[in-house]
Amino acid sequence: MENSKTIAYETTGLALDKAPLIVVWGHGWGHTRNVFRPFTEALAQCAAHLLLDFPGFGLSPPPPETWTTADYADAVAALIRPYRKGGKILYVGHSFGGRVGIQLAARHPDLVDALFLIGCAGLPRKRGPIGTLSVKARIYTFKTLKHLAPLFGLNVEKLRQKFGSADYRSAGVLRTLFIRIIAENLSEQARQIKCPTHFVYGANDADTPPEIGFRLQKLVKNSDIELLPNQDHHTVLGDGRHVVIKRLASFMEKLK
Amino acid sequence: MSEKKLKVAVLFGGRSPESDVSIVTGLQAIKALDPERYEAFPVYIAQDGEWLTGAPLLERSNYIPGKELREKLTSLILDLSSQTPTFLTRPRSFLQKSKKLPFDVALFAFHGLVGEDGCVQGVFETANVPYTGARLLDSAVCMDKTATKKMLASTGVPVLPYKEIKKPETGSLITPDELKAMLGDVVFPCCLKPANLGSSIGVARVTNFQEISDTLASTIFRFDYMALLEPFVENLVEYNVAIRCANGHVQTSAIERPKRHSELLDFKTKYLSGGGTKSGGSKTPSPQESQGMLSLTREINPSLPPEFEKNIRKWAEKVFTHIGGSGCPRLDFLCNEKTGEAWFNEANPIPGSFGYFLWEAAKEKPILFSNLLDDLIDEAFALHRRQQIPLDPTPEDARLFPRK
Repeated sequence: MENSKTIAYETTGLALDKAPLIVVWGHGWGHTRNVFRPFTEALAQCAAHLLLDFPGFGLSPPPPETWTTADYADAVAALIRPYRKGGKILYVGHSFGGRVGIQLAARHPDLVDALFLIGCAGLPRKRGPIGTLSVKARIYTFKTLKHLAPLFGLNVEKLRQKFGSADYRSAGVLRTLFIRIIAENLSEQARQIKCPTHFVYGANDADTPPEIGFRLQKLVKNSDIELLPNQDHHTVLGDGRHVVIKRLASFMEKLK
Repeated sequence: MSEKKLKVAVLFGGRSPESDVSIVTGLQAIKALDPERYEAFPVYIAQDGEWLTGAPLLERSNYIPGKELREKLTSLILDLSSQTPTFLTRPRSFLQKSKKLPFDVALFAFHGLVGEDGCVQGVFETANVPYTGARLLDSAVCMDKTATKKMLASTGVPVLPYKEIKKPETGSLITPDELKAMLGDVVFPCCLKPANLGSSIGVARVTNFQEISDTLASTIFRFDYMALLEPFVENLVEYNVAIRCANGHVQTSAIERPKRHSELLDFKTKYLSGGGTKSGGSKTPSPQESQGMLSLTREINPSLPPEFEKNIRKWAEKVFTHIGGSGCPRLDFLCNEKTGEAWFNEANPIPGSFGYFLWEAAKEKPILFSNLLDDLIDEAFALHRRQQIPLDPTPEDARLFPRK
């Protein structure tokens, strides 16, 4: 295992300086590099793999509170720049890791030859009127209760646990950062992407619904999208990963 | 993709002591089948023998289905007389009608009795339906460890000597004196194991006739009608390798060495460590869950002396050729770590998780799980085509009755 200044990472598979392809793996919110280990094991002999722990996850220390996905992308860029002389670079991201991938390809097009994004986030969700109302009601109720908490002796942390999403509840010291990141709209960055991009979504994904993917796919010029039946946001990394790996392997083959 | 998708019936469960493990393998296979090529559906054989299908069977958290859930599932029977692969639904009431459920091929994910042993293969042969893996006879031979040894007798593949012990026609008790008379001179310690079960169920180290008698009565004869007694291998290390034939070439997988070895390899160590796999319903898979439990307890591609590894692969090819050369069986070897002696132990025609992690890690040419299943299905059609005979197979000069 090796550590750069802000990102803990490790390399597996083929030797970095000899591999025709280097795959950089960016995990989702709340995960670590370990979530991609079964992927890199299956593809060990096809490429060199750079498994990252994003700042604030795994063995990487938390970033400053002011960070956005642009800062995450810049940190990844700084890490992978020395390897640019070697093989082509493919970035694989899941969910939040997909946001970082979009930023990376938009801000540092010289460093990324292709993107493979699984259950990728990056655009605000489209909800129906009832869904929007329900989310807004939950947020306003929480904010109101938070302000009233000192008066009524309420525990703010308990309120967070009751009203927050799973990622929000577990965000800990990254909570401020999390709120900013989920509000980001990466439409403009997606439009700037020029490298080949493949989007994969579980058809039953409730966290990043496929409609986000279809909108992203329209924004990214050189891209395509696939829905995997009976899969959701998490099973695409679990039992459903084998089909994802198969797609990724043929995507990699085309890049070589 | 304009091509019509193939309908794949994935069969698992069954009246086997390894039924639970088979459920895990079956569900893994359904999710690993490429949705661009296939429309896969589950066919779960309950332990009472009922064949069931339905969307709830795709969820691990729904096993083992209780009475309430089973009523919502569709009960099936295989149509043995149809010219094309067809299941028939069994009406649950007199108001319902039986429906036809056509499909193209059956993918077997059974482990152990009534599924991996030729029984279900025989049913699908009778129905003339393409199915994956070893054929009927090869499956039956592999399931019986004594039959496997007999088949390999002239091949030069080393196997341990053994003695058979059959379950009495009545009861399951054989006294130590009866055993002594039956087996003659025995050098203890020995390894006592069921002849027809996998997954180390019932395997025990025994040091005298009394222990043999006790183990047979308390464990082995509850699940199997035959046991075999072998010399106990000291300093035991196991090496397993999977093997298959693709495009006319026999290929071996990575070799695995189970990490924990002791006098008694425990079923739970083998299949249930890692925890998450049985729980189901968890939204976020832990890396362990993602990896699958089988890969947790073993070392893949251990460092081996080149000559030893060459022998294992050479013997594996010989065994594979003698057991029919189809499917992707895992072949298990026993080794005395100190002396370096090795013996072929058993063949598993349908290994846990189809041994996909061994294929992913194959040194020569890694195979992804989805591709492994593609090849198994292609092979099922090829073997089925090979076995076809004319609709009226009686030669004209052997016909005794006029065809009307």
